[in-house]
Amino acid sequence: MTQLELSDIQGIVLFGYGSLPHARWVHVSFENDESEPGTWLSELRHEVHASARGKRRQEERINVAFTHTGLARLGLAESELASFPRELQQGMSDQLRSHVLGDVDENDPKAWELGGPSNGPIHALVMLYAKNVDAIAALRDRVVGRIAALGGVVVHEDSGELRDPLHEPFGFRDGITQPHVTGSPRPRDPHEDEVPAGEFVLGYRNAYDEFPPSPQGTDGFDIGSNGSYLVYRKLQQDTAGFWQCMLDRARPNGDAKAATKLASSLVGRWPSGAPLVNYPDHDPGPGAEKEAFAFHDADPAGTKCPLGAHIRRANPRDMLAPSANESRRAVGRHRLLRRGRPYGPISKGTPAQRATPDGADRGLVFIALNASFRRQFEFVQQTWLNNPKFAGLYDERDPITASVMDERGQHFSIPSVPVRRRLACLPQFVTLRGGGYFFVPSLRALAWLASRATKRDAARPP
Amino acid sequence: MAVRQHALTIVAPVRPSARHGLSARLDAVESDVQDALVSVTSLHFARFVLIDGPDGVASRLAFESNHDGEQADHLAALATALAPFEELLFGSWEGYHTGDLAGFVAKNALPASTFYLGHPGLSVAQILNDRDVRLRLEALLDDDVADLGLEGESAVVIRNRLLDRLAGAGLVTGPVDRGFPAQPSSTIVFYVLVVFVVVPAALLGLPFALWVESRERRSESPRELVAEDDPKLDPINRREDAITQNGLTHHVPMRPGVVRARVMRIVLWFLENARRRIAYEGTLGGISSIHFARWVMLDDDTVLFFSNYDGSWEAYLGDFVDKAHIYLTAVWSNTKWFPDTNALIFGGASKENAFKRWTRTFQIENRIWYSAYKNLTVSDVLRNALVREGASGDMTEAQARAWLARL
Ligand code: HEM
Repeated sequence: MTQLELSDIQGIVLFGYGSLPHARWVHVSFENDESEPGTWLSELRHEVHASARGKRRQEERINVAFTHTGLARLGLAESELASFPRELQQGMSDQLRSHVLGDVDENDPKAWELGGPSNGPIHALVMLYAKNVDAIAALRDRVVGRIAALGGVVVHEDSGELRDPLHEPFGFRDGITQPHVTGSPRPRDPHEDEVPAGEFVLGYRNAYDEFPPSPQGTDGFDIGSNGSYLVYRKLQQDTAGFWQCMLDRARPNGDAKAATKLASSLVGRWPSGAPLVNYPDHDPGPGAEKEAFAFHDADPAGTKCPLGAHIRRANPRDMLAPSANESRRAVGRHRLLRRGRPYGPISKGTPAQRATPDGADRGLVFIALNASFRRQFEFVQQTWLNNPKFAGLYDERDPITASVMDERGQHFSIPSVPVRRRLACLPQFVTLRGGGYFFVPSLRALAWLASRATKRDAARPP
Repeated sequence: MAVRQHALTIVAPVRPSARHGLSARLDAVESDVQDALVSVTSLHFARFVLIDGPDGVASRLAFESNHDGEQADHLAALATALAPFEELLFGSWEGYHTGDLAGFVAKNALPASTFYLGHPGLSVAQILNDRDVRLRLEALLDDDVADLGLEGESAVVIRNRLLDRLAGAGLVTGPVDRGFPAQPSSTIVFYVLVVFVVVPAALLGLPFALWVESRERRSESPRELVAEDDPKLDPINRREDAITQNGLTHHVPMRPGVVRARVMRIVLWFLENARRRIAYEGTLGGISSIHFARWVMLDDDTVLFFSNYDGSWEAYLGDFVDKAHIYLTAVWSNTKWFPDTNALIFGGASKENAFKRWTRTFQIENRIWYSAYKNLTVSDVLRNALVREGASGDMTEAQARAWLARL
């Protein structure tokens, strides 16, 4: 049994803070030479929450993560910086990373609003969670006040809100499937797969029964231990465009029920969250979302849930070659902990109402944790979501998230008997507005970083 | 007559006078060479790559191709297509005489110890034909079933309607002979050999293998393995994963000693025969994403590995680790700095991080790489063949359904 050091692991790694519906993500820079990130971190680290349950029921949470430039700003030595994974060193907006992630055309970092080459550098990401609107505003002002006082600058800010039950802006129940981390104090839902802690937390055995590589300090301090890596992607969703397209392509054309069915086949679940594999014909309503399901035996050809549906691509479970068991084992090596939340005004109502453009900026702040960007997040993105040849398909990408690289739009096949239907010319529904790769240090590492940074502050030229 | 696919490998020293700046000159002509190779209708894949000579510098130029039919015809077509580049590509070889590719190849071609084929018996022409059959049918269906008047029709009717429309497109349909052996009698001999010779030999050799391993572990000078994310890999990374397929070239020295050399040959022989006799078509230890692959042993005690595979490097190597690690460990544990093994086949390639780093350390950038069907995966090729095969003759309703399900 893996014993996790809960008091050292930041809370966001093991918890989604479902009871704190309001979130604020503050992207901070300490570019100014006069600023004092050391002082800031020395204070803040005492407020950062670990995964161990506090004595009193917490009303708010603070977590913090750093980009590679941020770690350099804190004064880490060259060799220490070089011991972090290359993806973190390069950052999400690097050309090679874009190449791997498929962040091209509409999703090109050049057009981002955060984290791109034309936006200010980001050093730290402060993640704030609270119970209500007032509390989150107060928490935000307190934290940002200290940042400003010490010469830091807020480069970008996003707000997220969990609605109960959580629906993402297209209107689908989200946040259902999550791997259960071995040793986590969170009770395991029967439908959840158990995944070794080392897939998400450095310092523990991973799915290969090995210890993930961990960045090291020149003084022998294990910087990575109890830390994790975080992916941040602001994904703007064109809700009106999505539903208009579903209505247009539905048969009969414009029919709300048929449009909902079609949209559900892109996702792989009904709006209630009920899996299509278990309910191919109708939405049974809330309550079925936590049912267990798999693909290999239940739906090998994809006639219930299309092979290219978002949830199949994001987690193929037992459907990949050569066998159900091999598939499960291989897929288990590419899992993510999702911590994202929707942003922007809620879109509600019938497909026709949702299809009416209201000009609102809404979407998903996608946040994921993993121990290896390359083997987990980037792999899911490249080999599953964006792969035109996924699971024997011929030429299509994830219908929800993929950037459409061909001006003719993209395909989506819906296997059926006697013959498949293939939607052609689908537009892009989700646009990447920016993001970054972050390191989530343990509490001990925060203290170590703070002392490094304080020294660095003191050493700066007068 | 079934078409056979072959591998051609040449690794020869570069004339000293041609060495300077050769890699840049090769890079510069890559896209022109790719265009020129399209006219070689027997060619599946080809690459030119510079590899280290025994002197430790990139002083050898390797060429590999996977081709259909007779070597002589293939060479003639290559020579014609690449005539404008002859001096640079072939003329860089020590001892090459202008206009005599065939003569040079006759002297210098190396046998592949293990040659793997993902879709044997399908010629380039056949693969392209089958792709067009598939695309044509998909396009007909995209035009919307309703337009074709197919709504509510049976599978047989839909299929017939599609085939009517396909006729006249000038495409070959129906079965072709892929030349699969009908259980060659030597298969039995192979099994007998495995059961009575290979298995007992392996068991008897086990203590010895363990001893060799532990001795080497102590004596092998350490080598700093390139981290998977070393900046040195940027040029390789930039080439990779841009299209459906990728070409991997890997070159590593053997571990010293007769034992390793022997074991290597036995393992490669075993894999080659297993491939030919048991898994004639299909998967390399559960991996279904390799078009062609081969190991070639060079006379300076190094081993070259070429493969043309589908998907990302990360996925390909992940497959190696997840599915084929035993075979790969059996082969590559005989080469230097390979991750620690147990009993020659365990450990090694199952150690994800170490194995990937080892692979990256000895991976070489291709200078020129060519594929005749860049957008097709192995499973596309095989599925397209089934679609083409079923696109003629009559079918029952059940057969027609199964056929339509491939679209
Ligand atoms: C705005 C874009 C996106 C939308 C609207 C979206 C929507 C959804 C929905 C509705 C579900 C089903 C609920 C659940 O199983 O929890 C889901 C599941 C999932 N999504 Fe997304 N998603 C988006 C982007 C992404 C991205 C970028 C990734 C990863 C790179 C991703 C990975 C996953 C994973 C891993 C699952 C769980 C699948 C399973 O285990 O069955 N999603 N998503």
